[in-house]
Amino acid sequence: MPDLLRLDREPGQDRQRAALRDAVREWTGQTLGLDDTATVVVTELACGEPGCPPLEVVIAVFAPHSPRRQCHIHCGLTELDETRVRGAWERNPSCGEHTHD
Amino acid sequence: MTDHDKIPVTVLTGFLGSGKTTLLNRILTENHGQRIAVIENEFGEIGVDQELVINAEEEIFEMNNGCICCTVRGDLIRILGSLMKRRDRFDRIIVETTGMANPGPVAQTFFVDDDMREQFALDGIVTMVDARHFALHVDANEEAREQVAFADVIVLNKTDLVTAEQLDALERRVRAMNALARIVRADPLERARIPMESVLGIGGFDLARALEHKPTFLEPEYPFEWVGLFGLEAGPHELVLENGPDPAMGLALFKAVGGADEAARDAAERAFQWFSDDVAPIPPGQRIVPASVLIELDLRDAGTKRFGCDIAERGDYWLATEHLPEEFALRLIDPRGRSVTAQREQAFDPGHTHDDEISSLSLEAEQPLDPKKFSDWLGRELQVQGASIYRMKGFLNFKGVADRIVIQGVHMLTDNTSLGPWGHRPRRTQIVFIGRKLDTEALSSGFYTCLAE
Repeated sequence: MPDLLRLDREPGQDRQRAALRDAVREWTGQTLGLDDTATVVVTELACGEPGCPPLEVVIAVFAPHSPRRQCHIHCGLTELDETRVRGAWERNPSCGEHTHD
Repeated sequence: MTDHDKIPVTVLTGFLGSGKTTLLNRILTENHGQRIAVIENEFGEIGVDQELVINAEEEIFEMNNGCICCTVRGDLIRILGSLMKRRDRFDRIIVETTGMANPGPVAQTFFVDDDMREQFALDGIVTMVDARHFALHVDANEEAREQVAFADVIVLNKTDLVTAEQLDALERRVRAMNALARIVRADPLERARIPMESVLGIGGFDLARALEHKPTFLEPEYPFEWVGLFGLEAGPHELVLENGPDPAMGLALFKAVGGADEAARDAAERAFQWFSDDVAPIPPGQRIVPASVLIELDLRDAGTKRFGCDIAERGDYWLATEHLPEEFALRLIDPRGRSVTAQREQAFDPGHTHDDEISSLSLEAEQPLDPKKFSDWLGRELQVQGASIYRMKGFLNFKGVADRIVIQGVHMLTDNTSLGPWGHRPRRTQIVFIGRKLDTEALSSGFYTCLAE
């Protein structure tokens, strides 16, 4: 079970996570060709589906006049890298489709 | 970004006709010195010229397919992102939902992403309640129940349309559903008129202020529902009761300490110790003498029941009853046959429910918690019951952790922080869950397995 409370987290870890989320947003924006009117939300959630790893990152794109898009990558935020994010979107850039990486 | 830099957001909700837009118009015209951007879902109802009004079409977006706990308002996410580009034009955002809106996705929008949490401070959810029609709305509509359950502030509006007794009963019912919200009564002479500080700057989601509005958060559960103070002359009185919900009722009649100035809370604390005594019921016709004891009235007989009551000396006396007096049409009759009215009275949260699907559960422990056990337990519980748990707030006492930890959550999304060392404060855990058809047994039993060895 993921540590819900993260009582031992260091201030530096929060900054690192913030930087990672910014990077994920940038990689997503570049891969999908988004402009600055789009909002990209990056969330780390506990996955409730049986057989799945405990954590997943959900990346959701909200752009005006476009269908909503999201992808799920089955790892924690700190395990993400550019290859994994770009790969997830490139395999499935379509709107509203749920994939597991 | 510090809390000071975050944009405060107020969510204004309430069932159809409850007075949301009236309150919104008041907020926009009051001289509070704040520039407000409004995101509204019901177009064209604002009666005031506002520079920054954005009409939004409510869009529920599931972040985690099939899991209602991670639904957000897609329209809000997009609009909030856009508003940040005009940051210098407003000091606060108000989101006015539709009358049939579920506040859950709105609240979760501000929890779901750490960056949203860093840019916006969800100041609170303000729910308007139509005092006259609340019972009708809440019995027939899930959304009305959710609006009460999620609230930080509940405004009882249209109070001129109900009696004082009806308003008191409404407040008790609302309180039983939501143990954390502050309840405010609007001016009966002017709809939706309430002090602005009741709805702006309330810190409903501010962890550091989690304990500020805690009307029953730290209130003990009394085994009686009501206390009333009576000024009684010496002589034989009579307690008269009609048919009611129980075949017996506990009661205590005792002299006030310090006369009529004794606070109801102090009297309740004294009565509390007697209500755990085991006593045999006394049948109608028996006489009661004021004393520091619990009396159990035998109310099995149908019709009117009378108990004599001997007052030896003139003075002020408290009457504590297990049920509300009106449930038995209870009257205290003086030696001249007149019904005596309580000078002061106070009702408490009942130990039993009103059969509302929405309820609050408060769990407490003085023994410290094991942080790993608690984290694992809460994580599992939120996965199982997350859809049913609307809000959760608490402060936690962990073994091996010097600081007070405050936690809050909406469905499965939680946030916690340290409030610094306990210092002189007694170390104890208190956590409140508000939800629909809560598995209170699972929550209670599971919570107590988290106590540290």
